[in-house]
Amino acid sequence: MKELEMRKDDFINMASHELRTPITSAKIYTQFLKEHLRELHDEKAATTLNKLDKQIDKLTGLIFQLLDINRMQVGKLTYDKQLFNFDSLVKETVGLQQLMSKKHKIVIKGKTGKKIYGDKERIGQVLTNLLSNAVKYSQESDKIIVDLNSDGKDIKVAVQDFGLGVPKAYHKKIFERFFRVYDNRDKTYPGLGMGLYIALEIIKNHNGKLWVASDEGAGSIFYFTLPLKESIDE
Amino acid sequence: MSRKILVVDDNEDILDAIGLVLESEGYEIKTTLQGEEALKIVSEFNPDLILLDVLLSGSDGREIANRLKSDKKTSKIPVIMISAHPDAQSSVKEVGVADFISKPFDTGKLLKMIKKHTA
Repeated sequence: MKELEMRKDDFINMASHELRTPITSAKIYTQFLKEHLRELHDEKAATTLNKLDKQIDKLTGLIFQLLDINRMQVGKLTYDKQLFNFDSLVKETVGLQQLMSKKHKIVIKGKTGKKIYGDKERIGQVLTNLLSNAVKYSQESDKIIVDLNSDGKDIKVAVQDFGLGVPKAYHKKIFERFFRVYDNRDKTYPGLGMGLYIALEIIKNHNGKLWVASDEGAGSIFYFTLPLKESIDE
Repeated sequence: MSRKILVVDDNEDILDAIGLVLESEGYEIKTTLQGEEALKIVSEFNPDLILLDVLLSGSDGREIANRLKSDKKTSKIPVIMISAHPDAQSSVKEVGVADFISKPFDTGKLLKMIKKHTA
């Protein structure tokens, strides 16, 4: 059994690596053609290739998540920790997400005013996962709020949407690997149930907490905290 | 005179794709699939920059980078390492190359990196 598990982990590792190579060339060719068509003033074709480029990014994101999950399972996910400006990271991440979500206006409220010690990329990934969920599960609304504050002990982030919400019975289960409230039979909400699991693992590694306050039909607020022990005032 | 770049990767499609982009940007390029071959080309081609994949068939890109660094004739040539392996970045840092980019990457980001190190 253990050998089979190890073989599976090795397989996912290899597969993720092998998948990256054709994706890399596909992305380069796509971006090359996009620039070429832009120079020829064929805006429509260039915009279409831009959409293709974004799809390649989505595919890449999925591969990365599969790989991350696998490495979390075997305790091999590496963290590159250093001091970074937390509010700048939030601004940057929200900015990127805003580019991909035309319908929603993502508003940042408050600030922490802190530099924290952690893996900037990974914390950014937590926020990205929460924001993309907020967008995905609130198609009927047009607003997402990211609230930042700090109480001297922790920094606290709340990502609020006004969408479907999460039934109380699932508040713990949604953080389990591959668990989905809206399962695959319902193709309205595609996904593999990886984002929240990964987010929780990252936050736990930083000695923080991640949880949800929500009810069915009432939207959701995902909170996470990170300790300020190793932070400095900005 | 156009800048010269040597691209080393064990995948022909990647070499073709990167070559296409760099040539259209006016760089003079040479490509190779082999690490040992790369060392030979460097001495004749005398590139302004080397793009070097970490995992090559038959050799390790980091080892090739080390050999370039330890040879007086080639130690000044900036090397940008590329890799599809997520754990590669930390081991690449130890080699002390100019930069690292992870596959898949944004073409604009790569071009910016090349410009920076050939300025």
